[in-house]
Amino acid sequence: MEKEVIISARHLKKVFGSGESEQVIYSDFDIDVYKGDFTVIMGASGAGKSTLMYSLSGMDTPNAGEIMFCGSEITKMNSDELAVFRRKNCGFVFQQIYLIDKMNLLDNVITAGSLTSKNKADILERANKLFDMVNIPPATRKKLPSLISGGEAQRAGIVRAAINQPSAIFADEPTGALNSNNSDAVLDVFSMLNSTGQSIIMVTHDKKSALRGNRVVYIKDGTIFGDCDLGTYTANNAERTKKLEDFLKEMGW
Amino acid sequence: MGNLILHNLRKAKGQFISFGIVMLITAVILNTSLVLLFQTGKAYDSLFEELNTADLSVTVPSALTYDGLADAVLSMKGISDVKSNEALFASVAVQEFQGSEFTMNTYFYRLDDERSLTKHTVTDKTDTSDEMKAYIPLYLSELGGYKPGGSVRFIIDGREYKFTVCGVVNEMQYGNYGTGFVGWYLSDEAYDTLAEDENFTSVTEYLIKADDGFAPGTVKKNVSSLLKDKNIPAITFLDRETTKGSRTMVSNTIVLFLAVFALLVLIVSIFLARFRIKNTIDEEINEMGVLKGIGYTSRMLTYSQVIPYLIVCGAGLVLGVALSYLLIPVVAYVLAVQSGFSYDPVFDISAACLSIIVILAAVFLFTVFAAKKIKRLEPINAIRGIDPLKPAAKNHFPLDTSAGSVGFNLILKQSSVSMGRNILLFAVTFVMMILLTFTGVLLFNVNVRPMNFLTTLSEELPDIRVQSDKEHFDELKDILDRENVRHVDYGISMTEYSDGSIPVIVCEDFSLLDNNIIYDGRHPSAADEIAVGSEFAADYGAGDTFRLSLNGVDYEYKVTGYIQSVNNNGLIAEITDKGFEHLSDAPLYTVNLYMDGADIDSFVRRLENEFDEYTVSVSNAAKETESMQMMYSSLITVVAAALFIITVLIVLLILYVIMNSMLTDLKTDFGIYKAMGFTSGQLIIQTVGSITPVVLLGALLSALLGIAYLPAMFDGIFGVIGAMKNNFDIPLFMLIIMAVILTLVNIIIGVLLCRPIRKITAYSLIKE
Repeated sequence: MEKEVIISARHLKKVFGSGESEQVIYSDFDIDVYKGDFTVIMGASGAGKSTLMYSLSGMDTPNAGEIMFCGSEITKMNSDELAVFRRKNCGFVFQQIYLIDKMNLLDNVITAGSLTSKNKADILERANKLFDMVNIPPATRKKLPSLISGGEAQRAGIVRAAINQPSAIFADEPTGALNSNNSDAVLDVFSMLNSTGQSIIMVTHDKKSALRGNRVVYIKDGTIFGDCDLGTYTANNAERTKKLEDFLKEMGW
Repeated sequence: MGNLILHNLRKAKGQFISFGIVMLITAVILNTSLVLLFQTGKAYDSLFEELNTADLSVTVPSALTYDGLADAVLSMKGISDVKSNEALFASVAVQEFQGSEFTMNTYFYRLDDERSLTKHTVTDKTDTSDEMKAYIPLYLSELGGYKPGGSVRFIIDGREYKFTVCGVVNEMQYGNYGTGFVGWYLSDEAYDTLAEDENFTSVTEYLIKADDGFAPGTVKKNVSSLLKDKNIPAITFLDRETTKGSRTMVSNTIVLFLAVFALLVLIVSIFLARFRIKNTIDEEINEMGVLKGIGYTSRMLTYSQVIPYLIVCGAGLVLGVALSYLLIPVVAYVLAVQSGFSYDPVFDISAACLSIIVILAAVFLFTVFAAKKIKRLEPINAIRGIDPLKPAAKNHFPLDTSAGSVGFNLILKQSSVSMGRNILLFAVTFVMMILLTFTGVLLFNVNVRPMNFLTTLSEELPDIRVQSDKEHFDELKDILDRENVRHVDYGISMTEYSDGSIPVIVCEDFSLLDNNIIYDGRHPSAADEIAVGSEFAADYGAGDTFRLSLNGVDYEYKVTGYIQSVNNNGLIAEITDKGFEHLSDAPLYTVNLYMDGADIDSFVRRLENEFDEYTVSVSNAAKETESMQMMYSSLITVVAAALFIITVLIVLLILYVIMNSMLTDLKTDFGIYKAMGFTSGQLIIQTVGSITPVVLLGALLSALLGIAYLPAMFDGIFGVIGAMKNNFDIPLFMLIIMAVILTLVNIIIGVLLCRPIRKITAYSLIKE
């Protein structure tokens, strides 16, 4: 069965600086992202992984090219139209987590949920289901971000990203600031969400995180240098691990 | 540390500029008021000396004095010089004084009389072929609108006199109407013309100079006793201090008002500096931790925060003091017109020092106090962003359980985050609201309910005043009865009391009048009763006797109450017409008419044409009232508009600092909100909405308390000029509307200042 494309980018160009200091991050870049996929973007530091991901999500604007996201051309949208688009179609998980520190975890999630629904009970029900799923107990949900562990905070961040059932969740090195145990718990949440059909696009430089994806795209010199189909994630699958290691080796990683 | 100070200055330059402008405004207003406060009195005294003005001026009817009086006064202990001048005295109705008629007790002097005491100077001299030349005080020339080269007219007993204004007189006695008398200087021809009219009383003015250091009170008492012994009534009995007080009262009130305004702005500025420093410490706690870690001391860090404020404050103050010298001549001129003498204010080092040093010291103390937290920061905690003194954060207004929409609760959440910001906003709004309600209520009572204002300043405001005579007075009143015109016998007569002369209101029945000038006790109702002006309140208790005399006839009345009179500075009294019969067997034959909604102009015309034989003069008092109202209305509207603009400017500058701090503080949060899908518009509404409850609370509370504090403010200010009880309405609905307007102004300014939110992108989170 042919996969449905949710994001299609063509002839993308992104440049930082101007004149002599101009730095081309990517040019004439094409990519398709498929619905239900757990797409992992990898590459060396400075390759433009995050820049690409934020361009695809409408958080950043490419200098040229066209991005179709769920049938809408987001490259033609102004900032307010993009904001409205994001609230319905995108969820974000950041390395630095970025929960609002004056709100408890539940309020952080409700704040995002309120953008697509005015029914507080409905938002609460969805929020609690997701908190249950990511294993954050009710008492912790009422705590401020400064009073919980990084892992708990990042899982709460994932709940916030998922609350509006977005077309895609974008994760920028979500385990980058976490210890091993917390990383595993966070990645488990991503896998769980993906198993329910949630599309995920994740930037990482961590092999263990990349293994959670079913597709790994490697960026180098402003183009897709390699594209690896790992197949559906299953825990402790040596064959997938070997395939990824071989792919990364081939990419010069 | 110098680099750190410069770094701090550059980092928040917009906020420092804003703070500097507030300081500049404070310095401009404060220095202006201080310079005028320090120099007006001195300038008066200096001009007083320069013109060798008498310490005591006594004017008596020439017919009642005798040749040796001057010598008798001179022989008294403590008196160094006595000079006498001839003059004419009358109460004349000056025409077209600001488009109205203004009846004034006036002394007329010959310009060319030799004077060694109470001299005068003439400015703006113009020549004319007209023999009727008048040299009038600045007060009349500027306030009345009689410019040199133009003409001035007055009417007395139906006869009109017209003069060409040939110059402006500067003298220290009758230069404005503060004393209840004004002085004109005339050419010999004009003086002789008036002297031929029996309505002008020939008077002799005794100008008395006391020995240096001799108590003026003793001189006054001794001269008063002498006149009493000789049975000579005085029309005026003015000593140096009373005259100075009367003449500078209005200008001193204006200057005091300016000083209070400046102090209110200063209080707000200090709150602002304190807020900014506390906020900076919160914002830069990590940076301070690092600096402490590498060896900066708490003192260095404290001063690196405080000194930029002192530099900006100092610069703003110095510039403000300098700029105030552009404003001072303008205000001084307005005051000169009011007080009737002009001077050129000069640079005042003590005012400048006071303006700069006191404010700098206040800012230093409050900012050092606000920065004391730096001392208690442990480097490692600070690097981790831990502030041990900061109360534990709370999740206010939990979104899952709080009533109302999420959007509304997000606003309340943001509103409850910073107590310091809320206190500053509350204080600024509360103080600004005091200024706005004060000016607003004043404007309301001048423009919307002008009678409230006019009845506060005036004794009685009829629609028409008619002067009749003995033969026709009763017939006139019969006509008025037939025409169904409400009328009350009412007139004013100059009489004498122990220390000089006072106007006495004579009325058939005070209960028939519309005025509300009794502020304590009651109007007289019996023939032996009297109500006296506020000037006498301290010396004459209720039930005491008060002696009046007229043309050598005395009578002692019993005090029943106290009346206010701005025009006469509290030197006034009222008795019944029966009471007046004790002093004179000739009634005043004046009557006030109240048209109660009927056409005033047409009845004035009928009185002038149809009933001409029953009247000596008819004046359209309603028109005079209207002109007076227009005059005050334009002056107060300009003052109120200026205050409103300054208030909005200060609100703008302070909100700029607050909003800027908020935007810096919430930049990351805004990025997160935008990543979630919040639009700039939503965030602007949320941010402005978060300050609105505090602003509304401050404004409403100030407005509601205004019901209590505004009467006290008006009593205080109008009490100074003799209106012990004002008739102002302070409508609650208006105060509430003003609170809403101030809140709306805050919202509009807030929205404009929040525009940078549009430039904060979700992506900036990652880029940073």
